[in-house]
Amino acid sequence: MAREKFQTLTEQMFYILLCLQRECCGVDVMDQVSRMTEGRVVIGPGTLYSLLESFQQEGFIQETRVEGRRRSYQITVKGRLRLEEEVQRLRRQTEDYVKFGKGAHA
Amino acid sequence: MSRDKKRQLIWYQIDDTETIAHHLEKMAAKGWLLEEADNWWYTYRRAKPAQVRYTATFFPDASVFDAGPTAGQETYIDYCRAAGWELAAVYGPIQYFRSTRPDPVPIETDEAVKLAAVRRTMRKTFVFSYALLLLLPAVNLPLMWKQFQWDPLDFLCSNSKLATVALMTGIIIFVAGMLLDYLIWVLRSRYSVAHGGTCRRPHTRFRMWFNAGMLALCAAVLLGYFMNLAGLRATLMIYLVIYGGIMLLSRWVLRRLKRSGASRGDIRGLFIVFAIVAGLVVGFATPFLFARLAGAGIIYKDREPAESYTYTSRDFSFTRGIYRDKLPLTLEDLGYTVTEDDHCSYRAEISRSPLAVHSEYTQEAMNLDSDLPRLYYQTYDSRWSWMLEKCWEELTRAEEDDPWPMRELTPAPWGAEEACRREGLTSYFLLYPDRIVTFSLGEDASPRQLDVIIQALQP
Repeated sequence: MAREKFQTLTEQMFYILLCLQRECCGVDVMDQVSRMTEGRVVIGPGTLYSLLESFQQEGFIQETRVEGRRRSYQITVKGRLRLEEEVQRLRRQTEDYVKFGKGAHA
Repeated sequence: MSRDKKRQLIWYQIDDTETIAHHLEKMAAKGWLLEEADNWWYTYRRAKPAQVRYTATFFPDASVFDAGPTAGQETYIDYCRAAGWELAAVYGPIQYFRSTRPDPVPIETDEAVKLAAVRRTMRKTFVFSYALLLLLPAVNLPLMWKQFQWDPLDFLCSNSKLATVALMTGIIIFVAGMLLDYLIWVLRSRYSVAHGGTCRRPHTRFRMWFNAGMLALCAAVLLGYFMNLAGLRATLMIYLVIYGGIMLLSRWVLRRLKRSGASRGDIRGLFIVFAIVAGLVVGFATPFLFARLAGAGIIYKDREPAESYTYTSRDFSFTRGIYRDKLPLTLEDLGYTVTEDDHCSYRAEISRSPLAVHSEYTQEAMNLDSDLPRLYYQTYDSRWSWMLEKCWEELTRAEEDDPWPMRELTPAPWGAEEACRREGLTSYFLLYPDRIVTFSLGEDASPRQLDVIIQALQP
Protein backbone atom coordinates (compact mmCIF):
# COMPACT_ATOMS: atom_id res chain seq x y z
CA MET A 1 0.00 0.00 0.00
CA ALA A 2 1.30 3.48 -0.83
CA ARG A 3 2.58 5.54 2.10
CA GLU A 4 0.28 8.39 3.07
CA LYS A 5 1.90 11.77 2.43
CA PHE A 6 4.21 12.75 5.31
CA GLN A 7 2.77 10.05 7.59
CA THR A 8 6.36 9.10 8.10
CA LEU A 9 9.26 11.27 6.99
CA THR A 10 11.95 9.88 4.75
CA GLU A 11 15.52 10.63 5.74
CA GLN A 12 15.66 13.35 3.11
CA MET A 13 12.47 14.99 4.42
CA PHE A 14 13.72 14.71 8.00
CA TYR A 15 17.04 16.40 7.30
CA ILE A 16 15.51 19.17 5.18
CA LEU A 17 13.21 20.10 8.08
CA LEU A 18 16.06 19.75 10.53
CA CYS A 19 18.22 22.01 8.42
CA LEU A 20 15.48 24.63 8.17
CA GLN A 21 15.29 25.13 11.91
CA ARG A 22 17.44 28.07 11.01
CA GLU A 23 16.59 30.23 8.05
CA CYS A 24 18.38 28.81 5.06
CA CYS A 25 18.47 29.39 1.33
CA GLY A 26 17.06 26.48 -0.65
CA VAL A 27 20.16 25.99 -2.70
CA ASP A 28 22.29 25.70 0.46
CA VAL A 29 20.14 22.96 1.98
CA MET A 30 21.79 20.28 -0.18
CA ASP A 31 25.28 21.14 1.13
CA GLN A 32 24.17 21.54 4.72
CA VAL A 33 22.42 18.18 4.80
CA SER A 34 25.43 16.54 3.24
CA ARG A 35 27.68 18.14 5.90
CA MET A 36 25.30 17.27 8.77
CA THR A 37 25.25 13.62 7.74
CA GLU A 38 28.88 13.48 6.57
CA GLY A 39 27.69 12.61 3.08
CA ARG A 40 25.44 9.73 4.20
CA VAL A 41 22.24 11.48 3.10
CA VAL A 42 22.32 13.09 -0.32
CA ILE A 43 19.46 15.16 -1.64
CA GLY A 44 19.17 15.64 -5.37
CA PRO A 45 18.25 19.16 -6.53
CA GLY A 46 15.01 18.01 -8.18
CA THR A 47 13.91 16.17 -5.06
CA LEU A 48 14.86 19.16 -2.90
CA TYR A 49 12.77 21.52 -5.03
CA SER A 50 9.74 19.20 -4.97
CA LEU A 51 9.99 18.61 -1.22
CA LEU A 52 10.37 22.30 -0.40
CA GLU A 53 7.27 22.99 -2.48
CA SER A 54 5.32 20.21 -0.80
CA PHE A 55 6.44 21.31 2.69
CA GLN A 56 5.39 24.85 1.90
CA GLN A 57 1.97 23.68 0.68
CA GLU A 58 1.61 21.56 3.80
CA GLY A 59 2.57 24.53 6.02
CA PHE A 60 5.68 22.83 7.41
CA ILE A 61 7.97 25.61 6.16
CA GLN A 62 7.52 29.19 5.03
CA GLU A 63 9.34 31.39 2.59
CA THR A 64 11.18 34.06 4.58
CA ARG A 65 13.18 35.96 2.01
CA VAL A 66 13.47 36.35 -1.78
CA GLU A 67 16.67 37.90 -3.12
CA GLY A 68 16.57 37.69 -6.89
CA ARG A 69 16.29 33.99 -7.58
CA ARG A 70 17.50 33.00 -4.10
CA ARG A 71 14.66 31.96 -1.85
CA SER A 72 15.11 31.33 1.85
CA TYR A 73 12.90 29.18 4.05
CA GLN A 74 12.38 28.42 7.72
CA ILE A 75 10.45 25.74 9.54
CA THR A 76 7.02 26.68 10.96
CA VAL A 77 5.46 25.59 14.26
CA LYS A 78 3.51 22.93 12.37
CA GLY A 79 6.72 21.71 10.78
CA ARG A 80 8.51 21.70 14.14
CA LEU A 81 5.71 19.57 15.63
CA ARG A 82 5.87 17.16 12.71
CA LEU A 83 9.63 16.89 13.11
CA GLU A 84 9.22 16.31 16.85
CA GLU A 85 6.63 13.57 16.20
CA GLU A 86 9.05 11.90 13.84
CA VAL A 87 11.83 12.06 16.43
CA GLN A 88 9.47 10.49 18.99
CA ARG A 89 8.60 7.74 16.53
CA LEU A 90 12.24 7.04 15.83
CA ARG A 91 13.05 7.12 19.55
CA ARG A 92 10.30 4.59 20.27
CA GLN A 93 11.65 2.42 17.48
CA THR A 94 15.12 2.55 19.00
CA GLU A 95 13.78 1.82 22.48
CA ASP A 96 11.83 -1.12 21.13
CA TYR A 97 14.96 -2.37 19.49
CA VAL A 98 16.87 -2.13 22.74
CA LYS A 99 14.04 -3.88 24.59
CA PHE A 100 13.22 -6.59 22.10
CA GLY A 101 16.22 -6.75 19.79
CA LYS A 102 18.79 -9.56 19.79
CA GLY A 103 21.06 -7.69 22.19
CA ALA A 104 18.28 -7.52 24.85
CA HIS A 105 18.03 -11.34 25.11
CA ALA A 106 21.75 -11.97 25.11
CA MET B 1 21.69 23.41 -41.18
CA SER B 2 25.42 24.15 -40.88
CA ARG B 3 28.09 21.48 -40.45
CA ASP B 4 28.36 22.38 -36.79
CA LYS B 5 24.71 21.65 -36.15
CA LYS B 6 22.79 18.45 -36.42
CA ARG B 7 19.14 17.51 -36.05
CA GLN B 8 17.67 14.21 -35.02
CA LEU B 9 14.09 13.06 -34.97
CA ILE B 10 12.94 12.13 -31.46
CA TRP B 11 11.87 8.50 -31.37
CA TYR B 12 11.67 8.11 -27.61
CA GLN B 13 8.67 8.43 -25.37
CA ILE B 14 9.15 11.34 -23.01
CA ASP B 15 8.95 9.26 -19.85
CA ASP B 16 11.72 6.94 -21.00
CA THR B 17 14.31 9.19 -19.40
CA GLU B 18 17.00 6.54 -18.99
CA THR B 19 17.04 5.66 -22.69
CA ILE B 20 17.00 9.36 -23.60
CA ALA B 21 19.93 10.09 -21.28
CA HIS B 22 21.87 7.12 -22.62
CA HIS B 23 21.30 8.29 -26.20
CA LEU B 24 22.40 11.86 -25.43
CA GLU B 25 25.52 10.55 -23.69
CA LYS B 26 26.40 8.51 -26.77
CA MET B 27 25.94 11.60 -28.95
CA ALA B 28 28.21 13.63 -26.63
CA ALA B 29 30.86 10.92 -26.89
CA LYS B 30 30.64 11.33 -30.67
CA GLY B 31 31.09 15.09 -30.34
CA TRP B 32 27.49 16.31 -30.44
CA LEU B 33 26.08 18.26 -27.50
CA LEU B 34 22.35 18.77 -27.11
CA GLU B 35 21.46 22.39 -27.72
CA GLU B 36 17.71 22.45 -28.25
CA ALA B 37 14.77 20.09 -27.98
CA ASP B 38 11.14 20.24 -28.95
CA ASN B 39 8.49 17.61 -29.45
CA TRP B 40 9.98 16.45 -32.78
CA TRP B 41 13.66 17.19 -32.88
CA TYR B 42 16.86 17.26 -30.93
CA THR B 43 19.29 19.89 -32.20
CA TYR B 44 22.97 19.32 -31.42
CA ARG B 45 26.03 21.47 -31.79
CA ARG B 46 29.45 20.10 -32.59
CA ALA B 47 31.85 19.93 -29.66
CA LYS B 48 34.90 18.03 -28.56
CA PRO B 49 33.94 14.38 -27.91
CA ALA B 50 33.59 14.00 -24.15
CA GLN B 51 32.21 11.78 -21.43
CA VAL B 52 29.15 13.78 -20.39
CA ARG B 53 26.36 12.62 -18.10
CA TYR B 54 22.82 13.49 -19.16
CA THR B 55 19.54 13.30 -17.35
CA ALA B 56 16.00 14.22 -18.37
CA THR B 57 13.67 15.41 -15.62
CA PHE B 58 10.15 16.70 -15.35
CA PHE B 59 8.89 20.02 -14.11
CA PRO B 60 5.11 19.52 -14.18
CA ASP B 61 4.21 23.19 -13.69
CA ALA B 62 5.93 24.24 -16.92
CA SER B 63 4.14 24.30 -20.23
CA VAL B 64 5.10 24.25 -23.91
CA PHE B 65 3.35 27.62 -24.08
CA ASP B 66 5.82 29.26 -21.69
CA ALA B 67 7.96 31.94 -23.32
CA GLY B 68 10.81 30.96 -20.99
CA PRO B 69 11.44 29.17 -17.72
CA THR B 70 8.95 30.09 -15.00
CA ALA B 71 10.18 31.54 -11.70
CA GLY B 72 9.90 28.14 -10.05
CA GLN B 73 11.67 26.49 -12.94
CA GLU B 74 14.54 28.98 -12.66
CA THR B 75 14.91 28.08 -8.99
CA TYR B 76 14.89 24.39 -9.93
CA ILE B 77 17.59 25.05 -12.55
CA ASP B 78 19.65 26.98 -9.96
CA TYR B 79 19.49 24.03 -7.55
CA CYS B 80 20.61 21.73 -10.35
CA ARG B 81 23.48 24.07 -11.25
CA ALA B 82 24.61 24.06 -7.63
CA ALA B 83 24.67 20.26 -7.80
CA GLY B 84 26.79 20.32 -10.95
CA TRP B 85 24.05 19.96 -13.57
CA GLU B 86 23.95 22.44 -16.43
CA LEU B 87 20.68 22.96 -18.30
CA ALA B 88 21.15 21.71 -21.87
CA ALA B 89 17.66 22.19 -23.27
CA VAL B 90 14.11 22.57 -22.11
CA TYR B 91 10.82 21.90 -23.85
CA GLY B 92 7.76 22.60 -21.74
CA PRO B 93 7.87 20.38 -18.68
CA ILE B 94 10.82 18.28 -19.93
CA GLN B 95 14.26 19.47 -18.98
CA TYR B 96 17.56 18.05 -20.18
CA PHE B 97 20.59 18.52 -17.94
CA ARG B 98 24.19 17.53 -18.45
CA SER B 99 27.13 17.28 -16.14
CA THR B 100 30.81 16.86 -16.78
CA ARG B 101 31.39 15.53 -13.25
CA PRO B 102 32.17 11.82 -13.28
CA ASP B 103 29.65 10.95 -10.59
CA PRO B 104 27.22 13.81 -9.99
CA VAL B 105 24.45 13.66 -7.41
CA PRO B 106 21.32 12.44 -9.23
CA ILE B 107 18.72 15.16 -9.69
CA GLU B 108 16.02 12.90 -8.29
CA THR B 109 16.95 11.02 -5.13
CA ASP B 110 13.47 10.15 -3.91
CA GLU B 111 11.63 7.70 -6.14
CA ALA B 112 8.20 8.61 -4.74
CA VAL B 113 8.79 12.30 -5.49
CA LYS B 114 10.11 11.40 -8.93
CA LEU B 115 7.09 9.20 -9.70
CA ALA B 116 4.71 11.97 -8.64
CA ALA B 117 6.47 14.45 -10.96
CA VAL B 118 6.41 11.99 -13.87
CA ARG B 119 2.74 11.23 -13.35
CA ARG B 120 1.74 14.90 -13.12
CA THR B 121 3.68 15.69 -16.28
CA MET B 122 2.39 12.68 -18.16
CA ARG B 123 -1.21 13.51 -17.26
CA LYS B 124 -0.77 16.99 -18.73
CA THR B 125 1.13 15.96 -21.85
CA PHE B 126 1.02 12.31 -22.85
CA VAL B 127 -2.39 11.31 -21.49
CA PHE B 128 -4.05 14.58 -22.49
CA SER B 129 -2.72 14.56 -26.07
CA TYR B 130 -3.56 10.90 -26.62
CA ALA B 131 -7.04 11.43 -25.23
CA LEU B 132 -7.36 14.40 -27.61
CA LEU B 133 -6.32 12.15 -30.49
CA LEU B 134 -9.36 10.00 -29.73
CA LEU B 135 -11.54 12.92 -30.85
CA LEU B 136 -10.66 12.03 -34.45
CA PRO B 137 -12.28 8.57 -34.41
CA ALA B 138 -15.00 9.84 -32.07
CA VAL B 139 -16.07 12.33 -34.77
CA ASN B 140 -15.21 10.31 -37.87
CA LEU B 141 -16.57 6.86 -37.06
CA PRO B 142 -20.19 7.98 -36.42
CA LEU B 143 -20.00 9.98 -39.68
CA MET B 144 -18.74 6.89 -41.48
CA TRP B 145 -21.56 4.83 -39.98
CA LYS B 146 -24.08 7.40 -41.26
CA GLN B 147 -22.51 7.17 -44.71
CA PHE B 148 -22.66 3.39 -44.59
CA GLN B 149 -26.35 3.56 -43.74
CA TRP B 150 -26.93 6.11 -46.51
CA ASP B 151 -25.29 4.03 -49.25
CA PRO B 152 -23.85 0.76 -47.97
CA LEU B 153 -22.78 -0.55 -51.37
CA ASP B 154 -20.90 2.60 -52.24
CA PHE B 155 -19.28 2.44 -48.81
CA LEU B 156 -18.15 -1.13 -49.30
CA CYS B 157 -16.42 -0.24 -52.56
CA SER B 158 -15.04 3.14 -51.53
CA ASN B 159 -11.34 2.95 -50.83
CA SER B 160 -11.32 6.40 -49.27
CA LYS B 161 -14.07 5.54 -46.78
CA LEU B 162 -12.60 2.14 -45.96
CA ALA B 163 -9.18 3.76 -45.53
CA THR B 164 -10.74 6.30 -43.15
CA VAL B 165 -12.36 3.53 -41.10
CA ALA B 166 -9.08 1.57 -41.04
CA LEU B 167 -7.13 4.66 -39.97
CA MET B 168 -9.62 5.59 -37.27
CA THR B 169 -9.64 2.03 -35.95
CA GLY B 170 -5.85 2.10 -36.02
CA ILE B 171 -5.85 5.31 -33.97
CA ILE B 172 -8.14 3.75 -31.35
CA ILE B 173 -5.90 0.67 -31.09
CA PHE B 174 -2.79 2.84 -30.97
CA VAL B 175 -4.10 5.18 -28.27
CA ALA B 176 -5.54 2.30 -26.24
CA GLY B 177 -2.24 0.44 -26.50
CA MET B 178 -0.15 3.43 -25.44
CA LEU B 179 -2.43 4.42 -22.57
CA LEU B 180 -2.68 0.84 -21.34
CA ASP B 181 1.09 0.50 -21.47
CA TYR B 182 1.45 3.74 -19.48
CA LEU B 183 -1.16 2.59 -16.94
CA ILE B 184 0.70 -0.68 -16.45
CA TRP B 185 3.92 1.28 -15.97
CA VAL B 186 2.27 3.50 -13.32
CA LEU B 187 0.87 0.52 -11.42
CA ARG B 188 4.16 -1.38 -11.50
CA SER B 189 6.15 1.71 -10.50
CA ARG B 190 3.78 2.55 -7.67
CA TYR B 191 4.07 -0.96 -6.34
CA SER B 192 7.84 -0.91 -6.68
CA VAL B 193 8.24 2.50 -4.99
CA ALA B 194 5.84 1.59 -2.19
CA HIS B 195 8.08 -1.39 -1.45
CA GLY B 196 11.27 0.63 -1.42
CA GLY B 197 12.19 0.05 -5.05
CA THR B 198 12.66 2.41 -7.97
CA CYS B 199 10.35 3.55 -10.76
CA ARG B 200 10.18 0.84 -13.42
CA ARG B 201 11.66 1.41 -16.83
CA PRO B 202 8.98 1.96 -19.48
CA HIS B 203 8.55 -0.73 -22.14
CA THR B 204 10.73 1.11 -24.64
CA ARG B 205 11.14 -1.75 -27.08
CA PHE B 206 7.43 -2.56 -27.03
CA ARG B 207 6.55 1.09 -27.60
CA MET B 208 9.02 1.48 -30.46
CA TRP B 209 7.73 -1.64 -32.21
CA PHE B 210 4.16 -0.67 -31.50
CA ASN B 211 4.75 2.84 -32.86
CA ALA B 212 6.61 1.53 -35.90
CA GLY B 213 3.92 -1.10 -36.53
CA MET B 214 1.12 1.42 -36.34
CA LEU B 215 2.99 3.89 -38.54
CA ALA B 216 3.62 1.15 -41.11
CA LEU B 217 -0.04 0.17 -40.99
CA CYS B 218 -1.17 3.77 -41.51
CA ALA B 219 1.33 4.20 -44.36
CA ALA B 220 0.14 0.96 -45.98
CA VAL B 221 -3.50 2.02 -45.68
CA LEU B 222 -2.82 5.47 -47.13
CA LEU B 223 -0.60 4.12 -49.89
CA GLY B 224 -3.14 1.43 -50.74
CA TYR B 225 -5.74 4.15 -50.99
CA PHE B 226 -3.64 6.55 -53.04
CA MET B 227 -2.40 3.81 -55.38
CA ASN B 228 -5.95 3.39 -56.64
CA LEU B 229 -6.29 7.05 -57.44
CA ALA B 230 -5.51 8.61 -60.74
CA GLY B 231 -2.86 11.31 -60.41
CA LEU B 232 -1.17 9.54 -57.51
CA ARG B 233 1.87 11.77 -57.46
CA ALA B 234 -0.15 14.98 -57.61
CA THR B 235 -2.48 13.82 -54.83
CA LEU B 236 0.37 12.77 -52.57
CA MET B 237 2.14 16.04 -53.19
CA ILE B 238 -0.98 18.03 -52.35
CA TYR B 239 -1.44 16.19 -49.05
CA LEU B 240 2.24 16.52 -48.25
CA VAL B 241 2.22 20.24 -48.97
CA ILE B 242 -1.00 20.90 -47.04
CA TYR B 243 -0.34 18.84 -43.92
CA GLY B 244 3.44 19.23 -43.91
CA GLY B 245 2.95 22.97 -44.40
CA ILE B 246 0.46 23.19 -41.55
CA MET B 247 2.78 21.35 -39.19
CA LEU B 248 5.75 23.53 -40.07
CA LEU B 249 3.62 26.64 -39.88
CA SER B 250 2.26 25.72 -36.45
CA ARG B 251 5.82 25.12 -35.23
CA TRP B 252 6.90 28.49 -36.58
CA VAL B 253 3.87 30.28 -35.10
CA LEU B 254 4.51 28.79 -31.65
CA ARG B 255 8.17 29.83 -31.77
CA ARG B 256 7.25 33.36 -32.82
CA LEU B 257 4.65 33.62 -30.06
CA LYS B 258 7.17 32.43 -27.50
CA ARG B 259 9.76 34.91 -28.71
CA SER B 260 7.24 37.71 -28.20
CA GLY B 261 7.58 37.10 -24.46
CA ALA B 262 3.82 37.06 -23.90
CA SER B 263 2.28 35.27 -20.94
CA ARG B 264 1.47 31.54 -21.05
CA GLY B 265 -2.25 32.23 -21.20
CA ASP B 266 -1.89 34.64 -24.13
CA ILE B 267 0.39 32.30 -26.09
CA ARG B 268 -1.93 29.36 -25.52
CA GLY B 269 -5.00 31.39 -26.45
CA LEU B 270 -3.44 32.76 -29.63
CA PHE B 271 -2.13 29.35 -30.62
CA ILE B 272 -5.58 27.79 -30.18
CA VAL B 273 -7.04 30.54 -32.36
CA PHE B 274 -4.37 29.82 -34.98
CA ALA B 275 -5.10 26.07 -34.81
CA ILE B 276 -8.84 26.62 -35.27
CA VAL B 277 -8.32 29.01 -38.19
CA ALA B 278 -5.78 26.69 -39.81
CA GLY B 279 -8.14 23.74 -39.35
CA LEU B 280 -11.02 25.64 -40.94
CA VAL B 281 -8.88 26.85 -43.85
CA VAL B 282 -7.59 23.33 -44.53
CA GLY B 283 -11.07 21.86 -44.09
CA PHE B 284 -12.62 24.22 -46.60
CA ALA B 285 -9.68 24.71 -48.95
CA THR B 286 -8.84 21.02 -49.50
CA PRO B 287 -12.09 19.98 -51.23
CA PHE B 288 -12.04 23.22 -53.22
CA LEU B 289 -8.46 22.61 -54.32
CA PHE B 290 -9.18 19.01 -55.27
CA ALA B 291 -12.26 20.05 -57.22
CA ARG B 292 -10.20 22.62 -59.15
CA LEU B 293 -7.45 20.12 -59.86
CA ALA B 294 -9.95 17.48 -60.88
CA GLY B 295 -11.59 20.02 -63.18
CA ALA B 296 -8.20 20.75 -64.73
CA GLY B 297 -7.69 17.02 -65.28
CA ILE B 298 -4.64 16.85 -62.99
CA ILE B 299 -6.19 14.39 -60.58
CA TYR B 300 -9.11 11.98 -60.94
CA LYS B 301 -8.58 12.08 -64.66
CA ASP B 302 -11.40 10.50 -66.66
CA ARG B 303 -10.51 7.63 -68.96
CA GLU B 304 -9.97 8.61 -72.60
CA PRO B 305 -12.93 7.53 -74.78
CA ALA B 306 -12.44 5.51 -77.97
CA GLU B 307 -13.93 8.32 -80.03
CA SER B 308 -16.06 11.36 -79.60
CA TYR B 309 -19.38 12.30 -81.08
CA THR B 310 -20.85 15.74 -81.57
CA TYR B 311 -24.60 15.99 -81.48
CA THR B 312 -26.01 19.00 -83.25
CA SER B 313 -29.57 20.22 -83.27
CA ARG B 314 -31.05 23.54 -84.27
CA ASP B 315 -30.80 24.87 -80.73
CA PHE B 316 -27.62 23.40 -79.31
CA SER B 317 -24.77 21.02 -79.83
CA PHE B 318 -22.51 19.06 -77.50
CA THR B 319 -19.65 16.64 -77.78
CA ARG B 320 -19.42 13.48 -75.71
CA GLY B 321 -17.03 10.56 -75.56
CA ILE B 322 -18.00 7.16 -76.90
CA TYR B 323 -16.59 4.08 -75.17
CA ARG B 324 -16.33 0.65 -76.71
CA ASP B 325 -15.94 -1.51 -73.61
CA LYS B 326 -17.12 -5.09 -73.47
CA LEU B 327 -20.33 -5.34 -71.43
CA PRO B 328 -21.80 -8.58 -70.02
CA LEU B 329 -25.26 -7.41 -71.05
CA THR B 330 -26.17 -5.11 -73.93
CA LEU B 331 -29.28 -3.63 -75.44
CA GLU B 332 -28.65 -5.95 -78.39
CA ASP B 333 -28.90 -8.96 -76.01
CA LEU B 334 -32.26 -7.60 -74.90
CA GLY B 335 -33.56 -7.54 -78.49
CA TYR B 336 -33.04 -3.90 -79.34
CA THR B 337 -31.69 -2.98 -82.75
CA VAL B 338 -28.70 -0.70 -82.41
CA THR B 339 -27.50 1.14 -85.49
CA GLU B 340 -24.44 3.27 -86.16
CA ASP B 341 -26.67 6.33 -86.22
CA ASP B 342 -27.41 5.80 -82.53
CA HIS B 343 -23.74 6.41 -81.70
CA CYS B 344 -24.01 4.08 -78.74
CA SER B 345 -21.44 4.21 -75.98
CA TYR B 346 -20.58 1.01 -74.06
CA ARG B 347 -18.90 1.93 -70.85
CA ALA B 348 -17.66 -0.34 -68.08
CA GLU B 349 -16.07 1.10 -64.94
CA ILE B 350 -14.67 -1.34 -62.45
CA SER B 351 -13.32 -0.28 -59.06
CA ARG B 352 -11.89 -2.52 -56.40
CA SER B 353 -11.63 -2.18 -52.68
CA PRO B 354 -10.25 -4.79 -50.28
CA LEU B 355 -13.83 -5.78 -49.48
CA ALA B 356 -15.64 -5.71 -52.80
CA VAL B 357 -15.51 -5.19 -56.55
CA HIS B 358 -17.87 -2.66 -57.97
CA SER B 359 -18.69 -2.89 -61.68
CA GLU B 360 -20.76 -0.19 -63.30
CA TYR B 361 -22.02 -0.64 -66.86
CA THR B 362 -23.80 1.87 -69.04
CA GLN B 363 -25.01 1.63 -72.59
CA GLU B 364 -26.64 4.72 -74.00
CA ALA B 365 -27.17 6.40 -77.32
CA MET B 366 -25.31 9.68 -77.67
CA ASN B 367 -27.59 10.69 -80.48
CA LEU B 368 -30.48 12.29 -78.64
CA ASP B 369 -32.81 11.51 -81.53
CA SER B 370 -32.37 7.78 -80.91
CA ASP B 371 -35.29 5.80 -79.44
CA LEU B 372 -33.02 3.42 -77.54
CA PRO B 373 -33.51 3.26 -73.76
CA ARG B 374 -30.58 3.78 -71.44
CA LEU B 375 -29.27 0.54 -69.98
CA TYR B 376 -27.56 0.95 -66.64
CA TYR B 377 -26.60 -1.78 -64.21
CA GLN B 378 -24.14 -2.41 -61.43
CA THR B 379 -22.78 -5.48 -59.72
CA TYR B 380 -21.16 -5.60 -56.31
CA ASP B 381 -19.13 -8.75 -55.66
CA SER B 382 -17.73 -9.70 -52.31
CA ARG B 383 -16.36 -12.88 -50.80
CA TRP B 384 -17.95 -11.93 -47.50
CA SER B 385 -21.63 -12.67 -48.07
CA TRP B 386 -22.56 -11.51 -44.55
CA MET B 387 -21.31 -8.09 -45.52
CA LEU B 388 -23.48 -8.06 -48.62
CA GLU B 389 -26.43 -9.16 -46.51
CA LYS B 390 -25.81 -6.26 -44.13
CA CYS B 391 -25.65 -3.91 -47.12
CA TRP B 392 -28.87 -5.42 -48.44
CA GLU B 393 -30.59 -4.75 -45.12
CA GLU B 394 -29.54 -1.10 -45.23
CA LEU B 395 -30.36 -0.81 -48.93
CA THR B 396 -33.88 -2.15 -48.61
CA ARG B 397 -34.70 -0.57 -45.26
CA ALA B 398 -38.10 1.14 -45.48
CA GLU B 399 -37.88 4.92 -45.08
CA GLU B 400 -40.99 6.86 -44.18
CA ASP B 401 -40.49 9.72 -46.62
CA ASP B 402 -39.08 7.63 -49.49
CA PRO B 403 -40.88 8.80 -52.70
CA TRP B 404 -39.98 5.49 -54.38
CA PRO B 405 -40.36 2.87 -51.67
CA MET B 406 -38.91 -0.59 -52.14
CA ARG B 407 -41.35 -3.36 -53.02
CA GLU B 408 -40.32 -6.94 -52.38
CA LEU B 409 -40.51 -9.33 -55.34
CA THR B 410 -40.61 -13.11 -55.34
CA PRO B 411 -36.92 -13.97 -55.60
CA ALA B 412 -37.29 -17.45 -57.17
CA PRO B 413 -37.83 -16.31 -60.79
CA TRP B 414 -34.63 -14.26 -60.48
CA GLY B 415 -32.65 -17.16 -59.15
CA ALA B 416 -31.79 -14.80 -56.28
CA GLU B 417 -32.06 -15.02 -52.50
CA GLU B 418 -34.01 -11.78 -52.40
CA ALA B 419 -35.34 -9.32 -54.96
CA CYS B 420 -36.82 -5.81 -54.78
CA ARG B 421 -38.01 -3.09 -57.09
CA ARG B 422 -38.40 0.59 -56.51
CA GLU B 423 -42.05 1.53 -56.73
CA GLY B 424 -42.67 3.85 -59.67
CA LEU B 425 -39.22 3.30 -61.19
CA THR B 426 -37.71 0.64 -63.40
CA SER B 427 -34.90 -0.10 -60.90
CA TYR B 428 -34.38 -3.66 -59.71
CA PHE B 429 -32.24 -4.94 -56.83
CA LEU B 430 -31.18 -8.58 -56.57
CA LEU B 431 -29.28 -10.32 -53.82
CA TYR B 432 -27.19 -13.39 -54.66
CA PRO B 433 -24.86 -15.23 -52.24
CA ASP B 434 -21.77 -13.27 -53.35
CA ARG B 435 -23.25 -10.50 -55.44
CA ILE B 436 -25.75 -7.69 -55.40
CA VAL B 437 -27.13 -6.55 -58.75
CA THR B 438 -28.94 -3.31 -59.42
CA PHE B 439 -30.18 -2.42 -62.85
CA SER B 440 -32.51 -0.07 -64.61
CA LEU B 441 -33.59 -0.18 -68.21
CA GLY B 442 -35.43 3.09 -68.58
CA GLU B 443 -38.61 1.17 -69.42
CA ASP B 444 -40.32 -1.94 -68.11
CA ALA B 445 -38.58 -5.12 -69.18
CA SER B 446 -40.52 -7.95 -70.80
CA PRO B 447 -40.37 -11.46 -69.23
CA ARG B 448 -38.00 -12.59 -72.00
CA GLN B 449 -35.72 -9.64 -71.37
CA LEU B 450 -35.74 -10.36 -67.64
CA ASP B 451 -34.61 -13.92 -68.40
CA VAL B 452 -31.70 -12.55 -70.41
CA ILE B 453 -30.80 -10.11 -67.67
CA ILE B 454 -30.82 -12.85 -65.01
CA GLN B 455 -28.65 -15.12 -67.13
CA ALA B 456 -26.15 -12.35 -67.77
CA LEU B 457 -25.88 -10.82 -64.32
CA GLN B 458 -26.25 -13.61 -61.77
CA PRO B 459 -22.93 -14.94 -60.51
